[in-house]
Amino acid sequence: MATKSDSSPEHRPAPGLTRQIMTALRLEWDISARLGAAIFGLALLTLLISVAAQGSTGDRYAALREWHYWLSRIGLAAAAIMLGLAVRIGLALHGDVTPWFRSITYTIAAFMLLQGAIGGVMSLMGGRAGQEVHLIYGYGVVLSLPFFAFVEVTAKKRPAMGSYIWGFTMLAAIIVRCITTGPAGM
Amino acid sequence: MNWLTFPFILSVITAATTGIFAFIVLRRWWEKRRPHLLAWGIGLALYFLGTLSQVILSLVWSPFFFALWYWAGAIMVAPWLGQGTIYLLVRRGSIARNIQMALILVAVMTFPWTLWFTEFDSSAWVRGADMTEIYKDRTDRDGNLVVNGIMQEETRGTVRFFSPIMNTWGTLALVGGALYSARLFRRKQIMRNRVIGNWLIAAGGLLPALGGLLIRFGDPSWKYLGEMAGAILIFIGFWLATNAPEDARAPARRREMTRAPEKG
Repeated sequence: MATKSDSSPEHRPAPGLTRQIMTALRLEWDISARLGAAIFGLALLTLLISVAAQGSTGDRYAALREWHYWLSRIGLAAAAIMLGLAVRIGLALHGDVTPWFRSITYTIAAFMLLQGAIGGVMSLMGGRAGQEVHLIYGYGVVLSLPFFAFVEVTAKKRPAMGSYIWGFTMLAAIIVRCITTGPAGM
Repeated sequence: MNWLTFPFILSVITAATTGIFAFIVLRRWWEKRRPHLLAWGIGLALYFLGTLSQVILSLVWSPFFFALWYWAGAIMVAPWLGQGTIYLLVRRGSIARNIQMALILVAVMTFPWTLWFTEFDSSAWVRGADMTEIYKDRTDRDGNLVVNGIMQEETRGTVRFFSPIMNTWGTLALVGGALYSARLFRRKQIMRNRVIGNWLIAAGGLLPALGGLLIRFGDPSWKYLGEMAGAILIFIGFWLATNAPEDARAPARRREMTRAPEKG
């Protein structure tokens, strides 16, 4: 039988690191988060297999370039859709961020990090973008969503959908500059 | 002694003023932990770094200090000073924090861009010269190159794209916010020191911006003077606004308190 002192804060077991991270990110391990993690995990696995299956370094580079190309286009479309949703929920309906919205945002942020990592590996393999400044825009893409998500999760005043309106506007704008300074901008 | 020029002396005075000012504001932030003080402290620290780089560039050529001079002085100072005012005046939701995040994002992108991805022509540097006269190519009215600058014509539209946007935004926020606050205090007839302080801050914010504007019109001679006068005016304005004597703080409230017994 639990005594009163057992349930006091100092005797409560410390939450695990994953739990702490999820609390800091205001993320519940619900269906939306599981779905986001599953989609990202599956994409990562497919990427690794598709690259590892190539016979030569040149083919591996070509596979990475294909992923890099399509992730930028899908990322831009996702940013535009999420911006529209954020405007609708935040400005038209005066609503707050939902767990689904947050999970999708984190999934997109994870994909953008993956996109940056692919670009980094391509760079290490000797690849060069259309313009050198593509690297700057690249890390802007990786940073933009985490910066504004931080404002949202730490906001004392609710609703705080405005942060994602900023975040997805910046993300979409920087992806456009990324695309125009990549090989397409040559 | 060809380095002991008028621009050099102005730069030294500006660097000393902004260095002391940044220290005072950051120390105040350390005690009170208010976000507007942090934003102003960062803005003033950048003002100091920009003018310190100016002093160093009067003596020796350094690509690092040239990048720091351009990034801090031409891109970052005005919006960070304006950000402090935004924190004070825009209390709705997380608007001020979101603008700050956008500012940090631009800052972390433009610094390496200026330092590593912008070409500098060191042969255009001259000891003791006014940096605003040599930092970019000079052309005649027909657009023909007259003198090579450190940042050549090809750098237009790169990191230089951010300079007018960030400066306009920052100046509007700082000067507009100071004028708005001054008007507010004046209308309520309270805190006369803050009214004068805010006028001085507005004037101080406007002077470097006017200097920058004149560079665009081809006359860089006012930039250093504007920077120095601006820093001093903002310093005095801040000092007046935040160190008002107790009896000057709320004359309207005092009048109400003296009237209260009459009502009873």
